[in-house]
Amino acid sequence: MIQPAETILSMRQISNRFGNQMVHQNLNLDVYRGEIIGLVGGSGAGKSVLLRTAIGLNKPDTGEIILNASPIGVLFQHGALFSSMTVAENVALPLIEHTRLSRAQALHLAQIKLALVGLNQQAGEQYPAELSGGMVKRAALARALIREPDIVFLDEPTAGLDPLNAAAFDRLIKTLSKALGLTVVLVTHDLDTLYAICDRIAVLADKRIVAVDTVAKVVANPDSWIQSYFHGPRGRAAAHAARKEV
Amino acid sequence: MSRAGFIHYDNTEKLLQVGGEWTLEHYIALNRAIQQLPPAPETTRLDCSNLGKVDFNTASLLADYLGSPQLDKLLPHAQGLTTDQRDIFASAVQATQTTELYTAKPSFSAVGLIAQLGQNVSNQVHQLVLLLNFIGDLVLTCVAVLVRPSRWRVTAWFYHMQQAGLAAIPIVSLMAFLVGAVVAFLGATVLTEFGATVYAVDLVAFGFMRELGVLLAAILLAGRTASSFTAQIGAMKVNEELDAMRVEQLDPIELLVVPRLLALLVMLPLLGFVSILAGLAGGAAVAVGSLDISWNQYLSILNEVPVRHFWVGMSKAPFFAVVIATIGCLEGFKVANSARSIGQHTTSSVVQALFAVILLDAIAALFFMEMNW
Ligand SMILES: Nc1ncnc2c1ncn2[C@@H]1O[C@H](COP(=O)(O)OP(=O)(O)OP(=O)(O)O)[C@@H](O)[C@H]1O
Ligand SMILES: [Mg+2]
Repeated sequence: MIQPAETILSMRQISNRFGNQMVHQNLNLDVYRGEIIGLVGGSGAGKSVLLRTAIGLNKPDTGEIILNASPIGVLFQHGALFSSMTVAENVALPLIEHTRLSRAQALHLAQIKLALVGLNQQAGEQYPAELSGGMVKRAALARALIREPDIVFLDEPTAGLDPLNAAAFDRLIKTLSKALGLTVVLVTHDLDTLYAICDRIAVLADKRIVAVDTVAKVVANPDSWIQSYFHGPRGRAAAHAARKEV
Repeated sequence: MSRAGFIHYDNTEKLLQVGGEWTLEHYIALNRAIQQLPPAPETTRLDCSNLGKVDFNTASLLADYLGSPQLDKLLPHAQGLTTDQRDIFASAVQATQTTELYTAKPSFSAVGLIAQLGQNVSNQVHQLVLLLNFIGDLVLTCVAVLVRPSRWRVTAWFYHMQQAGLAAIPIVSLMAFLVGAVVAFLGATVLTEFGATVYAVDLVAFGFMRELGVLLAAILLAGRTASSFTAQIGAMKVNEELDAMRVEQLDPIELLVVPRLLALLVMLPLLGFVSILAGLAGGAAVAVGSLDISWNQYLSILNEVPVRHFWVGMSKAPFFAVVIATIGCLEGFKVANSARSIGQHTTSSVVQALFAVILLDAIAALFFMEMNW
């Protein structure tokens, strides 16, 4: 894959701490326009915090962030749907607030977006509290995509989805990214997703990005954490499956 | 530099031309343009050679216009369509197939109104049943816990006594002091005309011992503590903590409700007592400060008030405590799993607790009067 040179997000020398717990230390990461970049790291390594920092929800203690995109879309790890609105209203809200579309038009577009991520009309009329965990994820993705953003940040989008839906989710993200030039920053523990759709992978360990490159090159990285991550039993199975598909 | 999206239909050639940027910012214009076109045309060819960027929202606009089956048929041999654009249109076709046009629901009808009424009645009945159920459960659990000291949750009990009781002493005292002063002034204003200013002290003393002392404390707790009980338990419900307790075979009533109830049972009489003292102090401040009644005179008037009035007032405190704790906790359990629901039930808990306290006080006043106590 040829790498487009324009950076859409650039993080320089980022440090984050909570109390006396250092989460990131002098972390650097560049994201190029149009790519799908996967962010991996152990549980509690600070991936969600890094996403929040990139979006501007969390002010880093030191460091600089340049994000050349607007609007942005975000899928939070736990969905973060507004509990006082139906799912369709949740998805339509950005359109109602930020465009001159009428409410009915916005809701119609929301229903279509929901269909795109595999939720039917009935789910659209329910409240978030009435949905399953996987349905919440998909509704939140629909909300993140509704304004056709330049860049979306997805925090574990396929966690809690069944394998079929997870694969469909992967394909959907890939299609959107290719066709719309959408940049995707994706936190995931799903190795299949990494192999299937990511142009590059960034590995977060030891409070910094220890490697960022194509899947093939990252897998070959001698770092011990990377080795055990990608060459554990699950890593091997996913790699095997990915090779078969090619 | 972005060319506005356009759509054009040639009736003789049965050719539909789409071009320009089909993005969200042009959605409204494109939608208007489509409404000018003949509905459901029998297009046989689709020309996309001038088409720039297409996004999903506008793609679904075209799918809505042509109908997904027709667009699906046109896509494979559309002129000048790139694969990326085709993918977007194809997903739009798929998504619109399953979506009907959004129609707003009618918001008002006579039948709906009657149905609503019926719903409300059956809801209220259901709420009452819930309340009775809960009280029954609570009494049983209380008895079961009280006879077995090993199951006393002393830490939780002390914690809630501190939170609901001790922490409320300053505000209760201040409120009672001010009300005591107000009552003294009020009494003085009315009684001076009869030359009976001294009786303003009696008004404060009788008023606070029989009614106001404990009532003020209960009203304050209904606002302060019932709401916090509801919010605490409701947040645990939303977080599925109550379910986790049940799975671990722990009884939420025993763990959460009993300590709160017992804490209020101890603290409300105490707060009532503090409130009476503060009210009397407020009365004294006014009497000595501006009614020309000496401190000794004030004390001797107080001394003549029969002590049974004090006990009549205090006897209501435990009942108020039970009502406040029960309503606060029950509303917490009623929370559904959303943040909004916590807010609704917290409001409802305060309103119900206040209402119940005042109703109970009125009934007690009637009862004590009939009994001549
Ligand atoms: N608001 C906060 N206050 C204190 N510590 C925090 C806060 N948010 C995150 N942390 C800490 O920062 C660390 C990184 O958390 P983060 O949520 O980013 O992990 P993660 O990499 O996303 O893990 P997972 O894969 O489990 O989602 C954790 O140790 C967590 O305890
Ligand atoms: Mg996380």
